[in-house]
Amino acid sequence: MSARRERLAFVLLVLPLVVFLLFMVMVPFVIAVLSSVGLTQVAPGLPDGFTLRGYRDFFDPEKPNLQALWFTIKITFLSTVLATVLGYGLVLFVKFRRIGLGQTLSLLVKLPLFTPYLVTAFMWWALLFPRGYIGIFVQKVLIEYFRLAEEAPALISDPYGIGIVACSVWMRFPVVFLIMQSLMEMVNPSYEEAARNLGARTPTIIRRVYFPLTIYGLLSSVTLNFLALFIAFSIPFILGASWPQFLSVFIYVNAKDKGDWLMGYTTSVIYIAISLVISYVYTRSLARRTAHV
Amino acid sequence: MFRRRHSRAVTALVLGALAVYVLAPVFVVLEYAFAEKWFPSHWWFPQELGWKWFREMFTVGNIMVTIGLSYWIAFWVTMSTLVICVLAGYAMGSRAFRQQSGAATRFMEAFVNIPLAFPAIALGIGLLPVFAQLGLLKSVAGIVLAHMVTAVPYALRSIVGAFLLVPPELEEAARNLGAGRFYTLRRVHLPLVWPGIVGGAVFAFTWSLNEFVLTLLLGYPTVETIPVRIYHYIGGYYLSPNSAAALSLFLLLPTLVFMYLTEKALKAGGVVSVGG
Repeated sequence: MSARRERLAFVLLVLPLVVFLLFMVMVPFVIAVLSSVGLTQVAPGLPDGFTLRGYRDFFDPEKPNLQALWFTIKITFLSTVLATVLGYGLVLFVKFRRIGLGQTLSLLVKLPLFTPYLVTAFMWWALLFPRGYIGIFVQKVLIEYFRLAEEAPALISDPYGIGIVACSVWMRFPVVFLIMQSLMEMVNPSYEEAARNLGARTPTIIRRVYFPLTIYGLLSSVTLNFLALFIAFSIPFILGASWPQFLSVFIYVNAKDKGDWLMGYTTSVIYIAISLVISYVYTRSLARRTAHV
Repeated sequence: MFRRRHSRAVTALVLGALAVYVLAPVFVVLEYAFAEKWFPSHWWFPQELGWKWFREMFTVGNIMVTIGLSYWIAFWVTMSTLVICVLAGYAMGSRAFRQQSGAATRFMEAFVNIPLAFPAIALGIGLLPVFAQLGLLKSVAGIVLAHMVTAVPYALRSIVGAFLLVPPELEEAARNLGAGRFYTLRRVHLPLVWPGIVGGAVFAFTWSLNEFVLTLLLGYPTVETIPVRIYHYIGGYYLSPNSAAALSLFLLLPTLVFMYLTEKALKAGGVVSVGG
């Protein structure tokens, strides 16, 4: 077959995929961009003609919109850090205690990854709401017994995002564990042996041998988790407060409940732009990880 | 001696804490699903266990329609995703094509991953006017298309990975013996890449079954799937954690079983394992 026919066959085979993605991803993206500057009339209440009012309103410090962005970044950052500490800590524990990653432990760690998002949110809702185990534990032990506060803090629908963080950490720590565990296994054991022969103790070996060799893996798992949590909807929707809102919930409320489509589309474009930057960082860190190991 | 016993105790303690941490949320859902009587004064465990919430679920309302519709949509998402991804996966993963169209393949690989970086809600409100214009809003066909947006990149990754692992000599030998491209695909590639296709299909199916935001935005109230109904049990005006828990098991159990079986099947001896 000639090179030309080969290329034609390639195009024909990928054509359904390209058409699908153009229709389902690029068209809505273009509509969101154009609508955010008033260049379409696809939804009621959009301005008639070009305007940057949506962006001015979003970045206006007098208005509460920026709060949603900071809240999203703050909660995502905190959840990512905690998931990383838990996942990486567990990897180190398993590694240095020489615990084999048997089927039981492997399935146990993977369980949160396989659990549907909405069910995960519901599970944590059932644990944290005032009649849930953790809710009652906080009320009975910390408030009634130790009298640490006058009344129990709300653990769901709270302005600090406690429920969102608790649920997100549970859902995402396995990602760090699985990525870092496979990378740790790839590190040549003779490095550790040599370090031990020279008198290094476990913390030094972690700091001087394993950490530098797996840093790009850690970076890529952190970025992956950050992105996944940043664009999440189900968890903040179920466990979040009415204010401050997660950016995804903010878009939903603006567009569907308030009918403020201009703010809905503007926030969507900003949201997509930030997400694309994070995924670019992820791709770079992944490339470095591949080159490094 | 003491040191070793102490070390074992620490290991048991940490792994025990991990088990409690991971399993506690699942346990609570099971408790709610099977609790017939659970008074707050006996908050540590239900007083009576039984099937009340499941019976109620099947007799009251149209839950069976919701469950049936969820699985029906997931079936069509899987089928449609496979059609698109097997064709594209063959083009992007087969060595012969990669040699000819390397740059195009790399571009496609990057292009396909774009939906994964897009927040579903942002995509959803962009799709709203498109679907409204085409009559796809609040329709099963529209929801199938919407669910495919995220199912396609993951399924494709799995299928391309499987095609990449097919030894190029096999394809070359078949072509040298006069086999056409379609015959080579059918008789050489497909028998070898089926684990990757199964992996992609399982992902597409479970993804669709669990998808929430796009269904809520583009399908509700005409198209109501299990996640949307669960949301109404815990986020609506009438709170019913027991009903939500019972219904959650229709999502949780199939997902866990599918994932477990797929992983086991792929490890057990597929020539080609799932990529990505």
